[in-house]
Amino acid sequence: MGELALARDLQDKRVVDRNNRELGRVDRVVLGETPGGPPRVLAIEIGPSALGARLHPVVGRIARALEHIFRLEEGRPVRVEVDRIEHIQDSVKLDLTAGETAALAVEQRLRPFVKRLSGG
Amino acid sequence: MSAIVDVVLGIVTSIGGFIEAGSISTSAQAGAEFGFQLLWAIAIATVMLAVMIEMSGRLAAVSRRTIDAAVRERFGISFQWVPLAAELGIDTLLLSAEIGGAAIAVKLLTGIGFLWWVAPVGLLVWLILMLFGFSVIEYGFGLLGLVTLSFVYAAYHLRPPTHDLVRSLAPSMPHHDLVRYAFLSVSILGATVSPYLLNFYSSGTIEEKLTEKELWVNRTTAYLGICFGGVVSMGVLVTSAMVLGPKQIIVDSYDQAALMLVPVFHRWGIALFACSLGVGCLGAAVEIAINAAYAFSQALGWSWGANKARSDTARFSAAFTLITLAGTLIALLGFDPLRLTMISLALTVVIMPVIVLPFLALMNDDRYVKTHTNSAFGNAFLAGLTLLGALLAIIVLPLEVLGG
Amino acid sequence: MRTRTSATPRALTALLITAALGACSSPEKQLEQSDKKIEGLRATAQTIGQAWLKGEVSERYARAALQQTLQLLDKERATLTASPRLLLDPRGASVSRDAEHLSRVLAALIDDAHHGDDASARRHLADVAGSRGSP
Repeated sequence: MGELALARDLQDKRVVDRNNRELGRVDRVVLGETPGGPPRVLAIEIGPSALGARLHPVVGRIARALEHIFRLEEGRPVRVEVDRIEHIQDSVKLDLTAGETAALAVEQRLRPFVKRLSGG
Repeated sequence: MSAIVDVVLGIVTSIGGFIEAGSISTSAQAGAEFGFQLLWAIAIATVMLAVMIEMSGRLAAVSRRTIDAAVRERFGISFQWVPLAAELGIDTLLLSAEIGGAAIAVKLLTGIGFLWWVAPVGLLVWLILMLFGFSVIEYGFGLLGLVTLSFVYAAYHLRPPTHDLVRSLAPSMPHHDLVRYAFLSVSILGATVSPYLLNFYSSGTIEEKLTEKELWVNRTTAYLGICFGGVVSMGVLVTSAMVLGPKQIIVDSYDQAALMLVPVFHRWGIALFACSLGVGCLGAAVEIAINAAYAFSQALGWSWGANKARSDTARFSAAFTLITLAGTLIALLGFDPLRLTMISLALTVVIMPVIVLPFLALMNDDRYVKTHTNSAFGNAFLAGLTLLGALLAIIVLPLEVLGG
Repeated sequence: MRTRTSATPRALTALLITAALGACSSPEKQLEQSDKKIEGLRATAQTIGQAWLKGEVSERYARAALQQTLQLLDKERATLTASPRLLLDPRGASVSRDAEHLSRVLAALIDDAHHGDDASARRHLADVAGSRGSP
C-alpha cells in the first residue's frame, strides 16, 4: 500500500472533478479525532476562506466576510469528505462533478459579464 | 519541419520582444553617462535571463506545471504568498510604467501630452487580452517588435570602435559617479531579468503544449533568441553612447532618448524610436497583465489559458482586467514613466531572491524535472548573481534616491 | 568581550550611514550634479533645435520635446532655489543665473517652433550656446 505525505502530496494540490474539470486546490486538510482512536483525515476544503484561515485567522474572516457581502457563502468553503477522493496523482481527482459543489460559484457569477464583454 | 518553424519563430519573436521601457531607459541612460562601460551588465543579465528562461520552459515541459503552480504545491501557500504578493506589487508598478511608456510613444508621434493617451493604451491592452489568443499575443508583438532592430542598425552604422566594445564586455570600475554606475548596473539587471518573464514563459510552454521530447526546441529558442535579443539592448546603449554621450545629454526623458536615432535615420529617427518604444511597451504591458492572471489562477487553482474562451476562464479574465485597471490608474496619477520605470526595476532586483531561489529548488527536485535537473555550476551561477544583485540593490537604491 | 565578528556589522552599518549622508548632504556634489544636468539640458535644447531647423524632426516633436526640456529645467532650478546655501555660493549663483537665462531662451524656442519661425529660432539657438556663464 502506497504512503502519502499530507503536506507534500495532498495539501495545496490541484483538485479536479470526475470530468477533469478544475475545482481549485486543496486549501485546507481537515483532521479529526475518532473516539479512542488516532486522528485521521476527514476531508479537504477548497475556497478562499479556508485558504485565508491558513494564512491568518483575520485573513480567513475577511475572506468569509467578502463571500457574505457578495452572497457567495452557501456551500463554501467546499468540503469534500475523504471517501470522495478517487485518487491522488498529478492532481487530486474527486468522485463527483463540479455541479455538485459550490467550488465554481465565483466563476459562474462572473461568466455572464465576461461573455458579454468578450463576445463569446 | 513544424519544430524547426517553432524554433525560428521563437527566436525571431524573442529578438523582437526583448526591448521595452526598462531596457530602453536603462541602456539609453547607461550609454549617455558611461559610454560603453556598462555593456558587461547587459551581457551578464542576458545570459542570466537565457538560463532562467530555458529552466522555466524545461520545468513546464517535464512537470506539466508552471512555476507558480509548482511553487504552490512544493512550498505551500504559507510560503508562496510572500513571492506572489511581491511579484504582483512590482508587476503593477511595471505595468503602469509600460503603459506610460506606450503613451509617451504616441506623444512623440502626435505632440499631444502623454497623459491623454494613458487610458486609451490601457483599454487597448485590455482589448488585446480579451480578444486574442496566446499565439497572437506572443508572436504578434514579437514580429512587430522587429522594428527595434533599428537600434542595432544605428549602432552598426555609427561605427563604434570594436576594440572598445569588446573591452567593455568585461566589468570595470567607472571614472566617475560610482553610486550612479552601480544603480544603473542593478537597473539593467532588473530590466533584463524581469521575474514576470519566468512564469509567463512557463505558462506559454503549457499553452503551446511543448513536451519533454521537445526540450531542444525550448533550449534553442531560449539561448539563441534571448542572446540575440540582448544584442538589441546593446544596440540601444551603443547608439546612445555614440550620439548622446559626446553631447553630454543626460537622459531624463524619453523625448531626449529619441534623439539618438536622428543622426542615422534623419526624419525617420523619431518615428522609429516611437514605434520601438510603443510596440515594446505595449507588448510588455500585455505580457505583464496576462502573467498576473496566470500567477493568481495557477496559485489558487482557477481555470486559466489565453487559448480558452474567456467565458470559460472568468476569474482569469477578471484578474487581468483588474491589474490592467490598477496599472492604468497608477499611470494616470502622472508619475514620470521613466522615473517610475527606474524605481520599479531596482525593486525588482531586491525581490529577485524570493522568486529565483524557490525556482532553483524546483529545478533540482526530480519529482518535478525528473532526470533534467540543473547542474551544480548553473545553480551556483544563478544563486550567486541573484543574491549579489539583491545586496547591491539594497545598498544602492537608497543612495541613489537620497543623492538624486 | 568584543570580537571581530560583532564589530564587523557595526563597521558596515557606519560605512553605509556615512555613504548615505555623503550622498545627500554635500553641497559641492549637489552643485556639480545640478550643473551637469543643466548643461545636459542645454545640449538637449541645441540638439532638438538644430534637428528641427535641418528638417530632421517635425515641428510637433520639437515643440513637445522643448517643453519637456523646460519642465526638467524648472525642476532643476527648484532644487537649486530650495537650498539658500547653494545660492550663496558664487558658483551656485552662477549656475542658477545660467538656468534662469536658459529657461527664457527655451520658452522663446518653443514659441518659435509653434510659429514655424526659423530665423528667430536660429538667433535663439545661438543664445543657448552663448548663455553659459552669462551675467
